[in-house]
Amino acid sequence: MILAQVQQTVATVDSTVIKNSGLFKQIDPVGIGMALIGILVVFVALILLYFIFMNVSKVLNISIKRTLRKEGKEDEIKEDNSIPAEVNAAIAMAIHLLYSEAHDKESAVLTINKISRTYSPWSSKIYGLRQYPR
Amino acid sequence: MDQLFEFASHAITQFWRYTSFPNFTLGHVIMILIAFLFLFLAITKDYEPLLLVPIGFGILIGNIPFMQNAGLEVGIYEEGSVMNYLYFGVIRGIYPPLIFLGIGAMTDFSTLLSNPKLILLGAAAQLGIFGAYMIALQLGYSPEQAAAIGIIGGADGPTAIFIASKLAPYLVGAIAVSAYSYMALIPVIQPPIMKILTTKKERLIRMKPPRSVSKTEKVLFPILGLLFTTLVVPAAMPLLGMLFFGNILKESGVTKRLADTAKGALIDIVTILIGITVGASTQATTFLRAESLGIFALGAVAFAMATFGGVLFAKIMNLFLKEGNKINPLIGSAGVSAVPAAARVSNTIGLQYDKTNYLLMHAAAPNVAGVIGSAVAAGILLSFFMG
Repeated sequence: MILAQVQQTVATVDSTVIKNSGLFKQIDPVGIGMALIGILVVFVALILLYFIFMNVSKVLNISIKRTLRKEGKEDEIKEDNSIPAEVNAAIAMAIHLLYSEAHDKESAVLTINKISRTYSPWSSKIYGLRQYPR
Repeated sequence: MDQLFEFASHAITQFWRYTSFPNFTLGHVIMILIAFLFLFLAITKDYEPLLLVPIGFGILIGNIPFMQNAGLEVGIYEEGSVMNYLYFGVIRGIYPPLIFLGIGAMTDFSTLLSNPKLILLGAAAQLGIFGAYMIALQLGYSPEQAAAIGIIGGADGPTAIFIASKLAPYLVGAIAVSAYSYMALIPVIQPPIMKILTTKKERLIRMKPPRSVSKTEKVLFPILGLLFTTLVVPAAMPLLGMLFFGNILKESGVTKRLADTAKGALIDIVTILIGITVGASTQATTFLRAESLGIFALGAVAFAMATFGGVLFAKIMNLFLKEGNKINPLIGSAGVSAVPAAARVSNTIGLQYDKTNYLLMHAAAPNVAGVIGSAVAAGILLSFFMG
Protein backbone atom coordinates (compact mmCIF):
# COMPACT_ATOMS: atom_id res chain seq x y z
CA MET A 1 0.00 0.00 0.00
CA ILE A 2 2.69 2.44 1.12
CA LEU A 3 5.00 1.17 -1.62
CA ALA A 4 2.33 1.80 -4.21
CA GLN A 5 1.85 5.34 -2.88
CA VAL A 6 5.59 5.97 -3.00
CA GLN A 7 5.80 4.59 -6.54
CA GLN A 8 2.93 6.81 -7.58
CA THR A 9 4.53 9.87 -6.00
CA VAL A 10 7.86 9.06 -7.67
CA ALA A 11 6.14 8.69 -11.01
CA THR A 12 4.30 11.99 -10.57
CA VAL A 13 7.45 13.75 -9.49
CA ASP A 14 9.46 12.22 -12.33
CA SER A 15 6.99 13.59 -14.79
CA THR A 16 7.21 17.10 -13.35
CA VAL A 17 11.04 17.00 -13.07
CA ILE A 18 11.57 18.16 -9.52
CA LYS A 19 14.99 18.29 -7.87
CA ASN A 20 15.88 15.49 -5.46
CA SER A 21 15.35 17.69 -2.43
CA GLY A 22 11.79 18.44 -3.53
CA LEU A 23 11.26 14.74 -4.01
CA PHE A 24 12.49 14.01 -0.51
CA LYS A 25 10.27 16.70 0.93
CA GLN A 26 7.25 15.12 -0.71
CA ILE A 27 7.97 11.47 -0.03
CA ASP A 28 9.78 11.68 3.29
CA PRO A 29 8.90 14.92 5.10
CA VAL A 30 10.02 13.57 8.49
CA GLY A 31 13.33 12.25 7.15
CA ILE A 32 12.97 8.81 8.74
CA GLY A 33 13.30 7.00 5.40
CA MET A 34 16.44 8.89 4.48
CA ALA A 35 17.90 8.31 7.98
CA LEU A 36 17.18 4.58 7.85
CA ILE A 37 18.57 4.16 4.33
CA GLY A 38 21.61 6.26 5.22
CA ILE A 39 22.54 4.38 8.39
CA LEU A 40 21.85 1.07 6.64
CA VAL A 41 24.21 1.91 3.76
CA VAL A 42 26.94 3.04 6.20
CA PHE A 43 26.57 -0.29 8.03
CA VAL A 44 26.60 -2.27 4.78
CA ALA A 45 29.82 -0.57 3.63
CA LEU A 46 31.57 -1.09 6.95
CA ILE A 47 30.24 -4.63 7.51
CA LEU A 48 31.69 -5.46 4.10
CA LEU A 49 35.08 -4.20 5.31
CA TYR A 50 34.63 -6.15 8.56
CA PHE A 51 34.05 -9.44 6.72
CA ILE A 52 36.92 -8.84 4.34
CA PHE A 53 39.48 -8.05 7.00
CA MET A 54 38.14 -10.72 9.33
CA ASN A 55 39.00 -13.26 6.62
CA VAL A 56 42.08 -11.64 5.09
CA SER A 57 44.12 -12.38 8.21
CA LYS A 58 42.90 -15.99 8.23
CA VAL A 59 43.77 -16.47 4.56
CA LEU A 60 47.19 -14.90 5.08
CA ASN A 61 47.82 -17.13 8.11
CA ILE A 62 46.93 -20.25 6.13
CA SER A 63 49.28 -19.30 3.29
CA ILE A 64 52.12 -18.48 5.74
CA LYS A 65 51.63 -21.85 7.49
CA ARG A 66 51.63 -23.66 4.13
CA THR A 67 54.87 -21.92 3.10
CA LEU A 68 56.53 -22.73 6.42
CA ARG A 69 55.43 -26.37 6.18
CA LYS A 70 56.86 -26.61 2.66
CA GLU A 71 60.13 -25.20 3.94
CA GLY A 72 60.09 -27.68 6.82
CA LYS A 73 59.93 -24.96 9.47
CA GLU A 74 56.87 -26.33 11.24
CA ASP A 75 58.22 -25.42 14.65
CA GLU A 76 58.06 -21.72 13.66
CA ILE A 77 54.29 -21.83 13.17
CA LYS A 78 52.68 -19.77 15.90
CA GLU A 79 49.05 -20.39 16.69
CA ASP A 80 48.74 -17.21 18.70
CA ASN A 81 49.93 -14.04 17.01
CA SER A 82 48.88 -11.64 19.71
CA ILE A 83 51.36 -9.02 20.83
CA PRO A 84 53.56 -10.44 23.64
CA ALA A 85 52.73 -9.30 27.16
CA GLU A 86 56.09 -7.56 27.62
CA VAL A 87 55.50 -5.43 24.50
CA ASN A 88 52.09 -4.43 25.84
CA ALA A 89 53.66 -3.65 29.21
CA ALA A 90 56.24 -1.42 27.49
CA ILE A 91 53.52 0.39 25.52
CA ALA A 92 51.43 0.84 28.68
CA MET A 93 54.47 2.18 30.55
CA ALA A 94 55.25 4.63 27.73
CA ILE A 95 51.66 5.89 27.74
CA HIS A 96 51.70 6.15 31.53
CA LEU A 97 54.93 8.16 31.43
CA LEU A 98 53.51 10.38 28.72
CA TYR A 99 50.36 11.11 30.69
CA SER A 100 52.09 11.61 34.00
CA GLU A 101 54.69 13.76 32.22
CA ALA A 102 57.49 11.83 33.90
CA HIS A 103 59.93 12.54 31.10
CA ASP A 104 63.64 12.99 31.16
CA LYS A 105 63.68 16.69 30.31
CA GLU A 106 65.60 18.74 32.80
CA SER A 107 65.42 22.35 33.76
CA ALA A 108 67.08 24.57 31.20
CA VAL A 109 68.67 26.64 33.96
CA LEU A 110 72.25 25.51 34.30
CA THR A 111 74.21 26.42 37.39
CA ILE A 112 77.84 25.96 38.30
CA ASN A 113 78.28 25.40 41.97
CA LYS A 114 81.50 26.59 43.45
CA ILE A 115 82.92 23.93 45.74
CA SER A 116 85.50 25.01 48.31
CA ARG A 117 87.93 22.40 49.57
CA THR A 118 90.78 22.67 51.97
CA TYR A 119 94.22 22.69 50.30
CA SER A 120 95.84 19.35 49.69
CA PRO A 121 99.07 18.81 47.68
CA TRP A 122 97.51 15.58 46.34
CA SER A 123 95.02 17.52 44.30
CA SER A 124 97.08 20.65 43.76
CA LYS A 125 97.21 21.75 40.15
CA ILE A 126 100.73 23.08 40.46
CA TYR A 127 102.16 19.58 41.01
CA GLY A 128 100.18 18.17 38.16
CA LEU A 129 101.75 20.47 35.56
CA ARG A 130 104.97 19.57 33.85
CA GLN A 131 107.63 22.02 34.83
CA TYR A 132 110.37 22.39 32.29
CA PRO A 133 113.89 23.23 33.56
CA ARG A 134 115.09 26.65 32.38
CA MET B 1 45.02 78.80 1.73
CA ASP B 2 41.29 78.30 2.09
CA GLN B 3 41.36 75.98 -0.89
CA LEU B 4 44.13 73.91 0.67
CA PHE B 5 42.22 73.71 3.95
CA GLU B 6 39.07 72.64 2.14
CA PHE B 7 41.01 69.97 0.23
CA ALA B 8 42.65 68.68 3.41
CA SER B 9 39.34 68.48 5.25
CA HIS B 10 37.75 66.68 2.29
CA ALA B 11 40.66 64.23 2.13
CA ILE B 12 40.46 63.56 5.87
CA THR B 13 36.69 63.02 5.67
CA GLN B 14 37.18 60.69 2.74
CA PHE B 15 39.90 58.77 4.60
CA TRP B 16 37.68 58.56 7.70
CA ARG B 17 34.95 56.94 5.61
CA TYR B 18 37.43 54.36 4.43
CA THR B 19 38.58 53.45 7.96
CA SER B 20 36.86 50.74 9.97
CA PHE B 21 35.38 53.05 12.61
CA PRO B 22 32.34 54.44 10.74
CA ASN B 23 31.60 50.92 9.42
CA PHE B 24 31.62 49.21 12.82
CA THR B 25 28.42 47.45 13.87
CA LEU B 26 27.42 45.48 16.95
CA GLY B 27 27.74 42.35 14.84
CA HIS B 28 31.42 43.03 14.23
CA VAL B 29 32.00 43.48 17.96
CA ILE B 30 30.28 40.17 18.72
CA MET B 31 32.31 38.34 16.08
CA ILE B 32 35.57 39.85 17.32
CA LEU B 33 34.67 38.68 20.85
CA ILE B 34 34.02 35.18 19.45
CA ALA B 35 37.46 35.31 17.80
CA PHE B 36 38.99 36.23 21.19
CA LEU B 37 37.20 33.27 22.76
CA PHE B 38 38.57 30.88 20.10
CA LEU B 39 42.09 32.21 20.54
CA PHE B 40 41.76 32.02 24.32
CA LEU B 41 40.55 28.40 24.23
CA ALA B 42 43.30 27.42 21.82
CA ILE B 43 46.21 29.21 23.45
CA THR B 44 45.47 28.91 27.16
CA LYS B 45 43.33 25.75 27.30
CA ASP B 46 45.09 23.96 24.45
CA TYR B 47 41.74 23.02 22.81
CA GLU B 48 42.58 21.94 19.24
CA PRO B 49 45.03 24.84 18.76
CA LEU B 50 45.98 23.79 15.22
CA LEU B 51 42.43 24.51 14.14
CA LEU B 52 41.17 27.12 16.55
CA VAL B 53 44.12 29.52 16.13
CA PRO B 54 43.74 29.80 12.31
CA ILE B 55 39.93 29.92 12.57
CA GLY B 56 39.97 32.43 15.44
CA PHE B 57 42.42 34.66 13.63
CA GLY B 58 40.43 34.22 10.43
CA ILE B 59 37.32 35.46 12.27
CA LEU B 60 39.31 38.57 13.23
CA ILE B 61 40.40 39.10 9.62
CA GLY B 62 36.88 38.57 8.33
CA ASN B 63 35.35 40.99 10.78
CA ILE B 64 37.50 44.05 10.35
CA PRO B 65 34.85 46.37 8.96
CA PHE B 66 35.51 48.24 5.73
CA MET B 67 33.51 50.27 3.30
CA GLN B 68 31.48 47.86 1.21
CA ASN B 69 31.31 48.27 -2.58
CA ALA B 70 34.23 50.68 -2.61
CA GLY B 71 36.25 48.44 -4.89
CA LEU B 72 38.87 47.76 -2.23
CA GLU B 73 38.85 44.03 -3.01
CA VAL B 74 39.65 43.02 0.55
CA GLY B 75 36.58 41.08 1.74
CA ILE B 76 36.40 37.33 1.36
CA TYR B 77 33.16 37.60 -0.59
CA GLU B 78 34.52 40.31 -2.94
CA GLU B 79 35.55 38.93 -6.30
CA GLY B 80 39.22 39.45 -7.01
CA SER B 81 40.35 39.72 -3.40
CA VAL B 82 43.17 37.49 -2.18
CA MET B 83 40.93 35.98 0.47
CA ASN B 84 38.32 35.26 -2.18
CA TYR B 85 40.88 33.33 -4.22
CA LEU B 86 41.91 31.33 -1.16
CA TYR B 87 38.25 30.71 -0.29
CA PHE B 88 37.85 29.07 -3.70
CA GLY B 89 39.40 25.93 -2.23
CA VAL B 90 36.61 25.80 0.35
CA ILE B 91 33.63 26.52 -1.87
CA ARG B 92 34.84 24.12 -4.56
CA GLY B 93 35.63 21.41 -2.00
CA ILE B 94 39.35 21.25 -2.88
CA TYR B 95 40.86 21.50 0.60
CA PRO B 96 38.93 18.69 2.37
CA PRO B 97 40.21 15.86 0.13
CA LEU B 98 43.76 17.19 0.52
CA ILE B 99 43.35 17.09 4.29
CA PHE B 100 42.08 13.54 3.96
CA LEU B 101 45.25 12.69 2.04
CA GLY B 102 47.30 13.88 5.00
CA ILE B 103 45.07 12.07 7.50
CA GLY B 104 45.49 8.85 5.50
CA ALA B 105 49.27 9.24 5.53
CA MET B 106 49.21 9.80 9.32
CA THR B 107 46.77 7.10 10.33
CA ASP B 108 47.77 3.67 11.49
CA PHE B 109 44.88 1.33 10.85
CA SER B 110 46.55 -1.64 12.54
CA THR B 111 44.40 -1.48 15.69
CA LEU B 112 41.35 -1.67 13.45
CA LEU B 113 42.81 -4.56 11.49
CA SER B 114 43.68 -6.46 14.65
CA ASN B 115 40.07 -6.31 15.84
CA PRO B 116 37.88 -5.70 12.76
CA LYS B 117 34.58 -5.94 14.64
CA LEU B 118 35.32 -2.51 16.16
CA ILE B 119 34.76 -1.02 12.70
CA LEU B 120 31.02 -1.35 13.38
CA LEU B 121 31.27 1.24 16.15
CA GLY B 122 32.42 3.71 13.50
CA ALA B 123 29.17 3.00 11.64
CA ALA B 124 26.94 3.25 14.71
CA ALA B 125 28.27 6.69 15.64
CA GLN B 126 27.00 8.04 12.30
CA LEU B 127 23.57 8.01 13.95
CA GLY B 128 24.40 11.61 14.88
CA ILE B 129 24.41 12.66 11.22
CA PHE B 130 21.07 11.14 10.33
CA GLY B 131 19.42 12.00 13.65
CA ALA B 132 20.39 15.65 13.30
CA TYR B 133 19.16 15.56 9.68
CA MET B 134 15.70 14.51 10.88
CA ILE B 135 15.58 17.17 13.59
CA ALA B 136 16.76 19.88 11.18
CA LEU B 137 13.97 18.93 8.77
CA GLN B 138 11.44 19.31 11.56
CA LEU B 139 12.81 22.76 12.34
CA GLY B 140 12.06 23.86 8.80
CA TYR B 141 15.44 23.58 7.09
CA SER B 142 15.37 22.35 3.51
CA PRO B 143 16.58 18.76 2.93
CA GLU B 144 19.94 20.00 1.53
CA GLN B 145 20.46 22.34 4.47
CA ALA B 146 19.43 19.59 6.90
CA ALA B 147 21.94 17.20 5.31
CA ALA B 148 24.71 19.80 5.46
CA ILE B 149 23.91 20.51 9.12
CA GLY B 150 23.56 16.83 10.01
CA ILE B 151 27.08 16.06 8.81
CA ILE B 152 28.39 18.04 11.81
CA GLY B 153 27.49 14.89 13.77
CA GLY B 154 30.29 13.07 11.97
CA ALA B 155 32.69 15.22 14.01
CA ASP B 156 34.83 15.69 10.96
CA GLY B 157 35.65 19.26 9.93
CA PRO B 158 36.84 18.57 6.35
CA THR B 159 33.84 16.32 5.62
CA ALA B 160 31.45 18.95 7.03
CA ILE B 161 33.04 21.63 4.82
CA PHE B 162 32.98 19.33 1.79
CA ILE B 163 29.28 18.56 2.13
CA ALA B 164 28.27 22.10 3.06
CA SER B 165 30.17 23.50 0.07
CA LYS B 166 28.20 21.18 -2.23
CA LEU B 167 24.74 21.30 -0.66
CA ALA B 168 24.47 24.65 1.13
CA PRO B 169 27.46 26.86 0.20
CA TYR B 170 26.08 29.90 2.06
CA LEU B 171 26.16 27.90 5.32
CA VAL B 172 29.79 26.75 5.03
CA GLY B 173 31.07 29.26 7.59
CA ALA B 174 28.49 28.46 10.26
CA ILE B 175 28.74 24.70 9.71
CA ALA B 176 32.55 24.66 9.74
CA VAL B 177 32.83 26.84 12.83
CA SER B 178 30.19 24.74 14.58
CA ALA B 179 31.91 21.46 13.64
CA TYR B 180 35.36 22.60 14.73
CA SER B 181 34.05 24.20 17.94
CA TYR B 182 32.34 21.01 19.02
CA MET B 183 35.38 18.95 18.01
CA ALA B 184 37.42 21.10 20.36
CA LEU B 185 34.77 20.59 23.03
CA ILE B 186 34.69 16.79 22.75
CA PRO B 187 36.31 16.38 26.20
CA VAL B 188 33.38 18.38 27.61
CA ILE B 189 30.49 16.99 25.56
CA GLN B 190 31.17 13.25 25.55
CA PRO B 191 32.03 12.22 29.15
CA PRO B 192 28.61 12.92 30.73
CA ILE B 193 26.83 10.93 28.01
CA MET B 194 29.34 8.08 28.32
CA LYS B 195 28.85 7.94 32.09
CA ILE B 196 25.05 8.05 31.89
CA LEU B 197 24.91 5.19 29.39
CA THR B 198 27.33 2.80 31.09
CA THR B 199 27.48 0.97 34.41
CA LYS B 200 30.60 0.91 36.57
CA LYS B 201 31.04 -2.78 35.76
CA GLU B 202 31.03 -2.02 32.04
CA ARG B 203 33.56 0.79 32.41
CA LEU B 204 35.96 -1.65 34.08
CA ILE B 205 35.90 -4.17 31.21
CA ARG B 206 39.41 -5.07 30.13
CA MET B 207 39.71 -5.78 26.46
CA LYS B 208 41.82 -8.50 24.89
CA PRO B 209 45.23 -7.16 23.81
CA PRO B 210 45.38 -6.52 20.06
CA ARG B 211 47.21 -9.01 17.86
CA SER B 212 50.14 -7.98 15.70
CA VAL B 213 49.21 -7.05 12.13
CA SER B 214 51.33 -8.10 9.15
CA LYS B 215 52.59 -5.65 6.57
CA THR B 216 50.59 -7.45 3.86
CA GLU B 217 47.37 -6.72 5.74
CA LYS B 218 48.32 -3.09 6.15
CA VAL B 219 49.07 -2.73 2.43
CA LEU B 220 45.89 -4.55 1.42
CA PHE B 221 43.71 -2.38 3.66
CA PRO B 222 43.80 0.85 1.61
CA ILE B 223 43.34 -1.05 -1.67
CA LEU B 224 40.44 -3.24 -0.56
CA GLY B 225 39.06 -0.48 1.65
CA LEU B 226 38.83 1.89 -1.30
CA LEU B 227 37.31 -0.70 -3.61
CA PHE B 228 34.62 -1.91 -1.23
CA THR B 229 33.56 1.43 0.18
CA THR B 230 33.50 3.43 -3.04
CA LEU B 231 31.78 0.61 -4.93
CA VAL B 232 28.91 1.05 -2.47
CA VAL B 233 29.11 4.86 -2.33
CA PRO B 234 31.03 6.30 -5.33
CA ALA B 235 30.05 9.83 -4.28
CA ALA B 236 32.48 9.52 -1.38
CA MET B 237 35.37 9.00 -3.84
CA PRO B 238 37.09 12.39 -3.37
CA LEU B 239 37.34 11.87 0.39
CA LEU B 240 37.86 8.12 0.60
CA GLY B 241 40.11 8.03 -2.47
CA MET B 242 42.48 10.54 -0.92
CA LEU B 243 42.27 8.94 2.54
CA PHE B 244 43.24 5.51 1.27
CA PHE B 245 45.79 6.95 -1.16
CA GLY B 246 47.50 8.70 1.75
CA ASN B 247 47.44 5.45 3.68
CA ILE B 248 49.03 3.38 0.92
CA LEU B 249 51.78 6.01 0.64
CA LYS B 250 52.49 5.33 4.31
CA GLU B 251 52.08 1.57 4.39
CA SER B 252 53.73 0.64 1.09
CA GLY B 253 57.06 1.61 2.61
CA VAL B 254 58.44 2.66 -0.78
CA THR B 255 57.05 6.19 -0.94
CA LYS B 256 58.31 7.58 2.33
CA ARG B 257 59.05 11.00 0.83
CA LEU B 258 55.53 11.37 -0.53
CA ALA B 259 54.00 10.16 2.73
CA ASP B 260 56.15 12.60 4.69
CA THR B 261 55.00 15.49 2.48
CA ALA B 262 51.34 14.45 2.69
CA LYS B 263 51.34 14.17 6.48
CA GLY B 264 53.67 17.12 7.01
CA ALA B 265 53.99 20.16 4.79
CA LEU B 266 50.91 19.53 2.65
CA ILE B 267 48.40 18.99 5.44
CA ASP B 268 49.88 21.92 7.36
CA ILE B 269 49.51 24.27 4.38
CA VAL B 270 45.96 23.16 3.70
CA THR B 271 45.04 23.38 7.40
CA ILE B 272 46.31 26.96 7.47
CA LEU B 273 44.35 27.87 4.32
CA ILE B 274 41.14 26.13 5.34
CA GLY B 275 41.29 27.51 8.88
CA ILE B 276 41.94 31.10 7.95
CA THR B 277 39.38 31.19 5.11
CA VAL B 278 36.64 29.43 7.04
CA GLY B 279 37.24 31.86 9.91
CA ALA B 280 37.19 34.84 7.55
CA SER B 281 33.98 33.61 5.95
CA THR B 282 32.12 34.35 9.19
CA GLN B 283 31.63 38.02 8.35
CA ALA B 284 29.10 39.46 10.79
CA THR B 285 26.77 40.46 7.95
CA THR B 286 26.50 36.88 6.65
CA PHE B 287 27.15 34.89 9.82
CA LEU B 288 25.06 36.50 12.56
CA ARG B 289 21.64 35.16 11.72
CA ALA B 290 19.09 33.05 13.55
CA GLU B 291 19.99 30.31 11.06
CA SER B 292 23.55 30.16 12.43
CA LEU B 293 22.29 29.84 16.02
CA GLY B 294 20.08 26.97 14.89
CA ILE B 295 23.09 25.30 13.27
CA PHE B 296 25.07 25.59 16.52
CA ALA B 297 22.24 24.06 18.53
CA LEU B 298 21.81 21.23 16.02
CA GLY B 299 25.56 20.62 15.99
CA ALA B 300 25.51 19.96 19.74
CA VAL B 301 22.55 17.60 19.32
CA ALA B 302 24.35 15.80 16.48
CA PHE B 303 27.49 15.27 18.59
CA ALA B 304 25.46 14.01 21.52
CA MET B 305 23.53 11.58 19.31
CA ALA B 306 26.74 10.30 17.70
CA THR B 307 28.20 9.57 21.15
CA PHE B 308 24.95 7.92 22.18
CA GLY B 309 24.91 5.75 19.03
CA GLY B 310 28.50 4.54 19.51
CA VAL B 311 28.22 3.70 23.21
CA LEU B 312 24.83 2.05 22.85
CA PHE B 313 25.99 -0.10 19.93
CA ALA B 314 29.00 -1.28 21.92
CA LYS B 315 26.60 -2.40 24.65
CA ILE B 316 24.44 -4.19 22.08
CA MET B 317 27.52 -5.92 20.63
CA ASN B 318 28.44 -7.11 24.13
CA LEU B 319 25.16 -9.03 24.31
CA PHE B 320 26.44 -11.28 21.53
CA LEU B 321 30.11 -11.51 22.51
CA LYS B 322 31.63 -14.21 24.69
CA GLU B 323 33.26 -13.40 28.03
CA GLY B 324 36.84 -12.36 27.37
CA ASN B 325 35.93 -10.85 24.00
CA LYS B 326 33.67 -8.14 25.41
CA ILE B 327 34.10 -4.51 24.42
CA ASN B 328 34.45 -1.72 26.94
CA PRO B 329 31.51 0.49 25.88
CA LEU B 330 33.53 3.61 26.66
CA ILE B 331 35.31 3.13 23.34
CA GLY B 332 31.96 3.35 21.50
CA SER B 333 32.02 7.13 21.79
CA ALA B 334 35.26 7.15 19.79
CA GLY B 335 33.24 6.10 16.74
CA VAL B 336 32.94 9.76 15.84
CA SER B 337 35.76 10.72 13.54
CA ALA B 338 37.47 13.36 15.67
CA VAL B 339 40.92 11.75 15.60
CA PRO B 340 42.50 11.38 18.14
CA ALA B 341 40.50 13.56 20.57
CA ALA B 342 37.60 11.10 20.91
CA ALA B 343 39.94 8.14 21.52
CA ARG B 344 41.76 10.16 24.16
CA VAL B 345 38.47 10.88 25.93
CA SER B 346 37.65 7.14 26.06
CA ASN B 347 41.09 6.45 27.50
CA THR B 348 40.83 9.23 30.10
CA ILE B 349 37.39 8.13 31.31
CA GLY B 350 38.55 4.50 31.45
CA LEU B 351 41.56 5.50 33.57
CA GLN B 352 39.28 7.32 36.02
CA TYR B 353 37.78 3.95 36.98
CA ASP B 354 40.83 1.71 36.63
CA LYS B 355 44.24 3.33 36.59
CA THR B 356 45.79 0.43 34.71
CA ASN B 357 43.13 -0.05 32.04
CA TYR B 358 44.49 1.81 29.00
CA LEU B 359 41.82 1.97 26.32
CA LEU B 360 43.68 4.24 23.91
CA MET B 361 44.80 1.51 21.49
CA HIS B 362 41.34 -0.08 21.47
CA ALA B 363 39.57 3.27 21.06
CA ALA B 364 41.80 4.18 18.11
CA ALA B 365 40.04 1.45 16.07
CA PRO B 366 36.50 2.89 16.14
CA ASN B 367 38.03 6.35 15.87
CA VAL B 368 39.66 5.65 12.50
CA ALA B 369 36.59 3.65 11.45
CA GLY B 370 34.60 6.81 12.19
CA VAL B 371 36.66 8.69 9.60
CA ILE B 372 35.66 6.11 6.99
CA GLY B 373 32.06 5.99 8.28
CA SER B 374 31.55 9.75 8.13
CA ALA B 375 33.02 9.90 4.60
CA VAL B 376 30.63 7.12 3.54
CA ALA B 377 27.72 8.99 5.14
CA ALA B 378 28.81 12.14 3.30
CA GLY B 379 28.80 10.19 0.03
CA ILE B 380 25.27 8.95 0.74
CA LEU B 381 24.03 12.49 1.36
CA LEU B 382 25.68 13.69 -1.84
CA SER B 383 24.16 10.83 -3.83
CA PHE B 384 20.72 11.72 -2.57
CA PHE B 385 20.80 15.48 -2.85
CA MET B 386 23.16 16.41 -5.66
CA GLY B 387 20.58 15.60 -8.32
